[in-house]
Amino acid sequence: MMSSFSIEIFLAVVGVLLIALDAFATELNRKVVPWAAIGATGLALILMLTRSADIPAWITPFYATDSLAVFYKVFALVTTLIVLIIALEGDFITAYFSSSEGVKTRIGEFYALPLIVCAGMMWMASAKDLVALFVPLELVTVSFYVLVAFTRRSAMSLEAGVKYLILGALSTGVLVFGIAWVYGATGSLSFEGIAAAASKPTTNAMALMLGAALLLAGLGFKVGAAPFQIWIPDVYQGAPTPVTAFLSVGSKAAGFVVLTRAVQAFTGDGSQIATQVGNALLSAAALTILLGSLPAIFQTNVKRLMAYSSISHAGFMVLALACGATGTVAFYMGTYLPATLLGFLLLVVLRTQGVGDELKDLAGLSKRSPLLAFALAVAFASMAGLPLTAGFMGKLLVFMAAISKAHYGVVALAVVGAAAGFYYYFRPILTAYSPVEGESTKLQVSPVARVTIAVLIVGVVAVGVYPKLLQSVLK
Amino acid sequence: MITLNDYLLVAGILFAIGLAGVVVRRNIIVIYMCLEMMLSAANLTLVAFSRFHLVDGAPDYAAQSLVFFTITVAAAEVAVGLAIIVALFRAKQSVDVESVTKLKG
Amino acid sequence: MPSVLFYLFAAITLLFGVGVVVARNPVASALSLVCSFTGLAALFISLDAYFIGTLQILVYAGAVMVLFLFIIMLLDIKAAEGRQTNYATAVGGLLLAVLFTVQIAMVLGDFKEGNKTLADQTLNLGAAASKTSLNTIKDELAEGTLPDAKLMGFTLFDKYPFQLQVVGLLLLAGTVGVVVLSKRDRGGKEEVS
Repeated sequence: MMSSFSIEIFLAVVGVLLIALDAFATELNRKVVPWAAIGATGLALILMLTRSADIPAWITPFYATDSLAVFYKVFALVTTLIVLIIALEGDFITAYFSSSEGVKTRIGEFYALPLIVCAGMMWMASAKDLVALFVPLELVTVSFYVLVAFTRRSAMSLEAGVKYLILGALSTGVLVFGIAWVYGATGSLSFEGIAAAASKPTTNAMALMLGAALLLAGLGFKVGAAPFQIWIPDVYQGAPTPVTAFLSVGSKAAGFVVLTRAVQAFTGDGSQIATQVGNALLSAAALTILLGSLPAIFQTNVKRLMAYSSISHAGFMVLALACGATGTVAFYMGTYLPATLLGFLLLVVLRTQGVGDELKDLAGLSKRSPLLAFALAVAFASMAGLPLTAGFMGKLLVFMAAISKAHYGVVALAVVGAAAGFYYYFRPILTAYSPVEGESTKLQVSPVARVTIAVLIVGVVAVGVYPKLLQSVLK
Repeated sequence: MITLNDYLLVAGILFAIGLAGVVVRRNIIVIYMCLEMMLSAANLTLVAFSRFHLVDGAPDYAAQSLVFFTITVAAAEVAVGLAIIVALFRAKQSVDVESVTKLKG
Repeated sequence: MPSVLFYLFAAITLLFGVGVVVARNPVASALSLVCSFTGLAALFISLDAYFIGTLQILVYAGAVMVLFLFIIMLLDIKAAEGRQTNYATAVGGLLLAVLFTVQIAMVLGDFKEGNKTLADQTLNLGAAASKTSLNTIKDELAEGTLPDAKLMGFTLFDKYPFQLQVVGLLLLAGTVGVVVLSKRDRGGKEEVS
């Protein structure tokens, strides 16, 4: 029995040890690093599910262990585990693009850094004050700068790295400026203190508004909410696919946990700025859904399509947040995880078989590999929100939350976005099942990938058919 | 006499100058410098507020701890950022924003 | 601090800040930023934040800016190759800066707490001394000096010891990242595709 805090330290320590191991590696333990990383994450997940509830007393001032934190910790571990498996699948592609021509290089860092990132995301989920929020957030961001630009021999990866770097640093600046003003207006750095000060009439509402706006904008960058979503398509398309998967699921969800805590602090009982923050979130949600869904219609690259799709998903989550339905935000994240990771895993498996990311490359997939075509159909159907898949329940709960608060205008826009989704998500499925002329080679799928695909498909369908499964975890 | 608002205004203007620089400049290294300027402006805001928010008669060192952390983080960020920019320069022989326009759609 | 010095250092900070944006040569931008940061450090010290002021000089004006200059020199980046200034973006940038400043000024106009001066908020070192548990800090406070670095260190290790470790992890991840991104393999060609 370990506490969640010890588990996070375990992960970080294993990450550091793997970096050291990789630095002194011989041919033999080069292969050990990825499996050690996967094993450590799996072990951490098991420990997390059987954790003890007590945490050391000295960390309680900044470390929360409420249900949101615990849910997200498990979420982060599952995401990291699957991302590492995706990375292992695409190992030789990453190795090829991160070393010089004709040289075999070690890429142990590509497996060790995700462990450190995972620990950072778990600490973010527990943050009770703005310092405890800022430091792990930056740990995650800086590690992601490295991971995005990791395949440095690919011009696209470098370009994505530079764009992520500039916009990430910009968002850090805005976030710190926002934190400074929130602190200045409330005199407190803890979420509890901020919530208490926000309801006091002596607190200057204008100053608090400025701080809250900048802080939410800084976090909006991290989750990719409009109008700060511009970096997402380029960075997601250019980054190595395992990293894209990690960014779009792990990093985005961590951002949402933090955003949830910040919004709860700003919109607590009697808060002076509750209505303004609520309205800002609502307009951001509407804009995000539209700016994610409409450009997605015109995409011809599947990776870029998934980037736009992740923007529109972020819009739905912001909408749930604007309605104060924090449980729904977490539930939506839970439904978003299996479908999105399944999609990226398929892209990597296809890439290792020489199939590209373009939509036209998918033609005839159902003949070449029925399993992959079916998995693709499940993943995109869930993202679109087809009944009996996880995505349907997620969208349904968001709509219910919005309707209960009578935000009909935004609901109408969200319906348009969801309807557009049915068009652009079904295009890849139809392409995969379209008949093609001539002979086509069968695609090989490794046993590890087969098992992971099967697990993720079961996850999508199980939550879609029996949503209580996920809801019971949230309790 | 100098008030808290004077400090905050200086910080706000410095932040605005940095923001303008990020928008106007085409050289990625200069853009990065402007980002550092914005972060420093945020630090000035924090320090000013911490000096005027006395805890037991002394400045609020919790807020100054955050400044300590942002300075450390900024240093790490600059190191990683410049490594990425150098890698970009090796590939494209340029650090102009025009050199990163391959990804579009 | 006398008002004159505040205006002097604020002017240095802001004018050299403008210099970073308008200088055509990146080296000039970097040196402007060093000057701007020096002025900023003086402002920190005027706020009794001696430790942060020193850090600003050592880390920012010193280490970070040397790194910038080193990279600019290493890559031999020329001044903005005589290209015409794009007036549309220049005006856009200026407008953005002005709007942001006006926004801040509006908030400040409403922010009554901000009208306090440093003289209104004098440090009460006697009160601070009675609340401190650590003897070295208590003695200095009782003598009437502000042991800024000690109080800073005490807060860091008393309130945020764990975050300090995480920053260490961050620096490690950053270092490893820099090595990964800039190593060259022996005998290989560096071609980007």
